[in-house]
Amino acid sequence: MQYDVVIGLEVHAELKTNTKCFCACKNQAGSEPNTNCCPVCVGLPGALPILNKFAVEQTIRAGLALGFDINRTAIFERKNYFYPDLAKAYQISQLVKPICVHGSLRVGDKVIPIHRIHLEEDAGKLVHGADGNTLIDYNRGGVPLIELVTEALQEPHIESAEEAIAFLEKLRQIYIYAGVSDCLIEKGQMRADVNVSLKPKGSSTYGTKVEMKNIMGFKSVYRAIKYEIERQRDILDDGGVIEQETRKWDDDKGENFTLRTKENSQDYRYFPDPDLLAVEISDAEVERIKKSMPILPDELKARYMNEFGLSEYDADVLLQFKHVSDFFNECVAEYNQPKNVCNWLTTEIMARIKTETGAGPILISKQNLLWLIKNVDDKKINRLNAKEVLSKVWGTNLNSEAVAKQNNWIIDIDNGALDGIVKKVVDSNPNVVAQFKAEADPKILNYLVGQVMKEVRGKASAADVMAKIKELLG
Amino acid sequence: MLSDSEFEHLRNLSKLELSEGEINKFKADFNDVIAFASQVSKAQVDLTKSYFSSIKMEDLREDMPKPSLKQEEVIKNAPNKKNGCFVVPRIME
Ligand SMILES: [Zn+2]
Repeated sequence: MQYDVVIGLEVHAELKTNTKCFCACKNQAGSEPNTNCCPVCVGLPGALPILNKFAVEQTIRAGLALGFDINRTAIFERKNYFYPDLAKAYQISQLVKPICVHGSLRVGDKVIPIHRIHLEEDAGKLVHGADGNTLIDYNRGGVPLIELVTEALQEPHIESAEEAIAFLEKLRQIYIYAGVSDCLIEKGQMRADVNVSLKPKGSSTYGTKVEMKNIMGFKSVYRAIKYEIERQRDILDDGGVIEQETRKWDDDKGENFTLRTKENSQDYRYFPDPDLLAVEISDAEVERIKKSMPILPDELKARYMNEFGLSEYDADVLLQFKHVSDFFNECVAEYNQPKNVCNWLTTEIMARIKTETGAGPILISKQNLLWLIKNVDDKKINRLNAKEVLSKVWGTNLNSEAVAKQNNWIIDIDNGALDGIVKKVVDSNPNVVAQFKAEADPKILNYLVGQVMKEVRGKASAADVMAKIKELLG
Repeated sequence: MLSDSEFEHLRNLSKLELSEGEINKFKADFNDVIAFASQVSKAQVDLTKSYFSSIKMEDLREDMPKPSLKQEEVIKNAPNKKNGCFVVPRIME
């Protein structure tokens, strides 16, 4: 039987702020355990939460980046559950009036509707020991977290694992460019819950949803969705019924198993947190944040393609990492040759910074790189030597111009002298010239170019030399 | 009145083990508390107005860090601690 697949996503991202959501402890990963904690963080009786203005601002910023409406009144609720990652036995979250409602995200040709983004606090970190004990570090507890939920009952839906990953990658890029989160997946700064349901093709009734929570990494999300679609398809094809349940994805085994069924589903007993006032968000505040919005990837892409004439592929490569496109923008602001700058960045620089999980820092200054690009463009240094300079300068505090001079790579040979050398090489290689005249294949001339370059120790442009040889041979 | 199943649900959420005697005692207490709180519903209020108080976003806390507690202070009262962490029995979902 043919089925329509419907995929829902709940995406958590840790906000970039100085302090936690409800206290003035640092929002800082990598500290010694329980050193960014106060009575609020560890839920001591009588401790009162005080909401961080910037966490609200960042949530609004995330919402604006995705075209959300901003609720003018936001309310915080307690979500009660008993687990040691929450010292208070409840998480402060939002249910009835989240900060952002009704947004969307374009993935390919589809505009996927998004239900809401709300602000909540992250939980502490548990380390399960082999001795039957669990260690708790509350540094992460109270870190501001935004949860985005896609629209469950409104089309178009995410319909495949590929679309889900495209959605997550696009969302991650937007959050990073908007400056709301670093979204480091390996540090758990972005996590996804996935729900999957199948319905007979064309049917207007939705199937039963199965949820998988806290899947780490996009590759795992992809595999988990593929697996769950197949599992449900097998059950339905055999005439079975899908149970509404939460399943746990086991990445090592590549399969999932039942965690919680509908009968023992959680009862969170949400109610408004009496410790926190409702927040009034004025038009003026929303306007102020709108004005402070950084330029987002879609807008940059359009500029790269329309104003700078870059290909879509090149634009995507530059935009894949914010620090690369930032560097590109700075370089172009100073040297208005976007295509040439782009070529250097997408080849030489990307090759040096790309890692398995992302990209490292660019270890050459804008000035040093621009010196190389400009001087290659002006034929003051040949491309191969310029790449050599880049290798020598990379990761050091050497200066491109000094390195080029030291190695005697600055092209200072005058035209007349170069003509003389070209003539000498052509005259002393009659066999090559004869072969070229017989076969008319310009590749044969590469040998002569190489000879000239050797004579001038690379201090000429290969293209110039080729032109001179061709001219000489008529 | 709290039904037996509602009471059992609450007991379960609270992770409490109760004896037969405690169950009867707490059930009675619970019903007293609910009866007391129910007086609120007799109040004459205009439900078209909202009664919750609010704060302007502008007046929220600025995002400036303040010193946290020292690690030994944070875990001082924990019955079991290790490597600067609280230690609890392992609970897996
Ligand atoms: Zn704190």
